[in-house]
Amino acid sequence: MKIKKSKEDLQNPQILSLDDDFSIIKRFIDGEESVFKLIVQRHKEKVRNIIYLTLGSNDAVDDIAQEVFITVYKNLNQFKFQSQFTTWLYRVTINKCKDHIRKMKIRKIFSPIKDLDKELGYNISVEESNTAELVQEAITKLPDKLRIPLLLKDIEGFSYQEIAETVQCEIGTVKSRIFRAREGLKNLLKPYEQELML
Amino acid sequence: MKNLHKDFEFLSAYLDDELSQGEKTRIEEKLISSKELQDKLKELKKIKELTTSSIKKVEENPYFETRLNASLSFNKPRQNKVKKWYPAIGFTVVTIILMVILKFNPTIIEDVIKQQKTNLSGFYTENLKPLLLTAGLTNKDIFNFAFSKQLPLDRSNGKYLLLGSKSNGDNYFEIKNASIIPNGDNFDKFIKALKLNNNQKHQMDSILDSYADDLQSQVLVNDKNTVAINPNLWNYHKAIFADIMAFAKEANKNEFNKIVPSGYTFYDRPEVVNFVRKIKNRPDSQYIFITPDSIFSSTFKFDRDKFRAEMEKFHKELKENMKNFDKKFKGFNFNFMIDSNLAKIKHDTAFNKSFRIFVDSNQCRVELGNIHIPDIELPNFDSIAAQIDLATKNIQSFSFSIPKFDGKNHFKFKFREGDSTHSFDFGIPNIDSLIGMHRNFFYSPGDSTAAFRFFQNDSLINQKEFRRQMQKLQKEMEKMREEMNNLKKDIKKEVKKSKSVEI
Repeated sequence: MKIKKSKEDLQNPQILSLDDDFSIIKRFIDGEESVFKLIVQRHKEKVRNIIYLTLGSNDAVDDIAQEVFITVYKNLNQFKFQSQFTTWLYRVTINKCKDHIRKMKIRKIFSPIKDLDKELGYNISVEESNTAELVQEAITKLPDKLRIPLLLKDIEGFSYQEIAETVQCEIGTVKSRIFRAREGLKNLLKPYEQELML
Repeated sequence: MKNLHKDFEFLSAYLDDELSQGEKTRIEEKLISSKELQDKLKELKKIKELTTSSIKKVEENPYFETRLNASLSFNKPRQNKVKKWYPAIGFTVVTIILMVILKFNPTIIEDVIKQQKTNLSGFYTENLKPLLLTAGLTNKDIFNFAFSKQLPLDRSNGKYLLLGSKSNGDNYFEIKNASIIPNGDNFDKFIKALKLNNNQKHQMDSILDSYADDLQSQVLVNDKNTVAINPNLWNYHKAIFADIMAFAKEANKNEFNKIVPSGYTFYDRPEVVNFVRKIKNRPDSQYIFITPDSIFSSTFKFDRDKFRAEMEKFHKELKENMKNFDKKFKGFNFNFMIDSNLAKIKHDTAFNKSFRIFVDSNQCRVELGNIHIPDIELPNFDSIAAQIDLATKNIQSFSFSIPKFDGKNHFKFKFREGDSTHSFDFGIPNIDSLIGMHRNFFYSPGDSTAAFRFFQNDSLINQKEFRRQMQKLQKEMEKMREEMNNLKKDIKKEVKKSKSVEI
């Protein structure tokens, strides 16, 4: 019976991933530091993508992703194996993104007026926009707390549970925020209702 | 309305397949009967599609891992653990090294401090020359040193060194401007008072000469405006004074008794010679250095033989070429300036431990707190020192005013001595014109009073001696007048020459 269950587990990529992450982390803690590159290889694209979605720009994606993996590398020895590695990894990623956004906002206060154009966002002008760009523009205008759960769900395919763990809130809150994000998006895109066939 | 909003939220979650089975069934039932919910579901689906289709994933970066590995190599956690302890490890290692060094070489810190002091003192002690050379010390100066404890430091700028002792026994020295130094030209008057013959006068000169060589190494100066004073100088003062008095007693006891208080017995010559020998044989390498910005005590070995050899060589060159003389002589110029920093030193407790310094525009006084002056015993010198004061009180001060001249050949003046007034009337040919021409020679401008000091029994008081001095002065003035006339003639010649060239 046990063998059967493990076979089922092997068929489930998420559990396989969990097992693999755990075994790699154990080897790392045991002193085999070279296995850290396996962790990077497995998660770098997801991490980079979350950063991109969260910031709405790829300017600082690699810098923040580097910071994320350096933080993980430094703290991996303290990993408790009580939750999925990815939950911790994505939480670190989201927190790094929030730090970056906070820094950018502070910098914006002290920036000259001409630099105000360079705000956080996808930086797409309405004049030259197509449908995708209009939607991207609208998404960047959503507040962080609505935008991040929406994108983690619709782009990264996270479950509400995973989103709740990543952004550290209740599942009900995630459900509410995703709905409000969609409502907000609809309102932002109202001027282009006909073009978008809403 | 609230329920409808709640249903919309459930529709959003239904769309994401995030409802439990019960919730799913309930919302599906509502959907069948509600057109509004159906429209909302359609709208939410469209928004979800737009979101999903509008945002592409970020492009891969092939260099990401390479860059990360480079960053990680600088951020190894285990290295960090060690790094955290670097300051403590460093401190411990340094402490252990210091402990080991101090165990095997406990005087190293003192040596380093000494070395630093030597470096500083080395700068200021370079090229120190004896005072005798720079100030041109004469036998009269040595005599004045014995009687008035004063030595000329810098004649061109009128700086004098004065030694003294406070009532509590602490010694001090002062560097004063000549303007506040009393005129102490007593050598000739002393010889006259004792009525010494030429032979005795030569003996007196040779006694003073015998100290010149030793005295010169007691006070050294250099081109960095440093004055180095050997504490043994205080002993030399005693020795010279005792020697002079012993000689005077031996040379003319009757006259000697007139100028010293009655009942006063002075040392016999052998006793003084023994005392002088002790002083001269004492090692004297400890000096007090006064520089423009500091005062310190340090050892310094003045090589008399080397200096003597240099001087002999210098004199040879001097004979050969007078021009060299000017150059060399300029090299020994000394110009003592009191730096404002020196005044600040008086607030420095480190200096105060050894010295107390008082500075004003006219003088710099240094009291030697902890500096030990080697005391060479001359029996009963301290009690005799009091007698010395009495003896020197016989050298009295007189003042006189130079009046207006009421005749070409007459010169009258009065002076006060205690309660009595003395009047003098001199018939000196041309004295009025002489004084008229060179009035400043006799007294300071703006002050018609000049100070004279002489012995009570000195024959200088009589008119003859005064007349003789005036005549001597008159001759000097005539000589000077001749020189001036010659100079005028030369200038006229030069002017004529230049005019002829212009024509």
